[in-house]
Amino acid sequence: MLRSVRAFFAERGVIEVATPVMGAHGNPDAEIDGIRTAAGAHLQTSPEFAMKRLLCAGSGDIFQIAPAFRSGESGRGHLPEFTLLEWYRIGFDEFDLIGEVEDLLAGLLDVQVRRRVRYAEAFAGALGCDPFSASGARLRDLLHERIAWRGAPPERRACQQILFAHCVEGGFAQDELTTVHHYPPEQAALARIDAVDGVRVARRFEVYCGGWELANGYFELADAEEHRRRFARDNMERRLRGEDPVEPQPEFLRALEDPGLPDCSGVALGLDRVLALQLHQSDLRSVVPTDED
Amino acid sequence: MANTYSTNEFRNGLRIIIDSEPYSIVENEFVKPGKGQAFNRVKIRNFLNGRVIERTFKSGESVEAADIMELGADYLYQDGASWHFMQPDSYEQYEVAEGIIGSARDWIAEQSRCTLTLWNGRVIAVEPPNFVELKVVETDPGLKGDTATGGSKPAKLSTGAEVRVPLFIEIGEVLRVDTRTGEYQGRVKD
Repeated sequence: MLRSVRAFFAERGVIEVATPVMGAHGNPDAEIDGIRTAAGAHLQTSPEFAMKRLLCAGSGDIFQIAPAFRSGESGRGHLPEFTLLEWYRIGFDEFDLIGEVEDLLAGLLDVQVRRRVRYAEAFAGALGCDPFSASGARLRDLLHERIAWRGAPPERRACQQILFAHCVEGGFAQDELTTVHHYPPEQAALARIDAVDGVRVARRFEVYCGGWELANGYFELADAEEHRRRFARDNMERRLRGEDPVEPQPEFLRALEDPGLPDCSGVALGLDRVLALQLHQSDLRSVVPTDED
Repeated sequence: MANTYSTNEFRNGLRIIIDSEPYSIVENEFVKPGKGQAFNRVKIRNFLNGRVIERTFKSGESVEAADIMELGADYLYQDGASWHFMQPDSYEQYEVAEGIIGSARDWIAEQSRCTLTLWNGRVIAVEPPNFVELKVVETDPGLKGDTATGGSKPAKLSTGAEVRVPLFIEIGEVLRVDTRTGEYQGRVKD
């Protein structure tokens, strides 16, 4: 698998890089918890910040096969240490990159059919409701109706995600590549938000196959100020939960200001899951020699 | 404050309280979009009625622990609507209402070692041993020597249970029966 991946990028002139796994700063994303060493260093939750700094410095197209660490993620489809394939393409928008992800996965997984669907379409198809315009109350009602939700009422974004995972993803054909694009702006993470047909959408995508989310990509947000706003919002959420804020790398924010991030799209793909699909296993612990039980 | 379990302690067999009733986790799946809310999707079995339902919890949420205990106890006697059991080590006795015994009544004979499930100290379920040995009290006359033709007939056991047995079985014989399926396993030779 690794040899095919490297051959795929060699053919396309994308160069392989290696960046530090450990650093003084973490990932502010409020839904991702990092792991820290006893000395206090943050282990990367993905190589995105380091790779974007290389892009700012003029690296051109790059890819990396890197370990990523996330606290508390453990189960059939999750390991606290896993392997990401992350790559960036200069001048690509998200649809150019989706095409490349499909080409790579079609080869690795021997999958023929490629489907693309807007988030709103997939959501409405399964739940009969537009996730962009529905009120928070409507989404919470759906949560009660469709999955007998009993806990504290989650906020709008979490409602969308829980409903999507329960009622939408399961409908994607196991033996096809399904790419979901045009996400609701509240789920933008670090993707650009633009108006498409008069609706603000996050230019983000996810690729599914075999019942698993395999890849998450963006037409990358380049604006440094907007990054600061989103990180501040993430840290506000952390504080509201009684957690410590996680500060972003100042070097990353400086590089976004000067020299700036070229227009590009990037994607992270879970290689352990691809390997599990190749070997027809439904549990990552069957393909990775881990000490997880 | 009662004990609680956080979702990251969830594992099969864990006993929790949902909607004021005790449940056991039979399946736990950690679900998390790469960018998004993590949650646990679980299947849980209700101790009181055996029904399995699905529930979803936001990861990190806490759920009340159910004070559930299982112990082995021998059946002593029945008095009116109550069944009496004794734990052999502590000699502690447990009185169980007829309604709780349920279908276990078909298999419980004196000295049967049963499994009692206690919730907050109260018996909520009784399980008979997987295999019991019971005497036949009623069946059609046996066909002497017919051990090969493979036919079967009903037989009533000392507890009142009815099982299908081979044609050669006679009244007074002791049979071994699987209580989970109600199937005849064989004759017990004295």
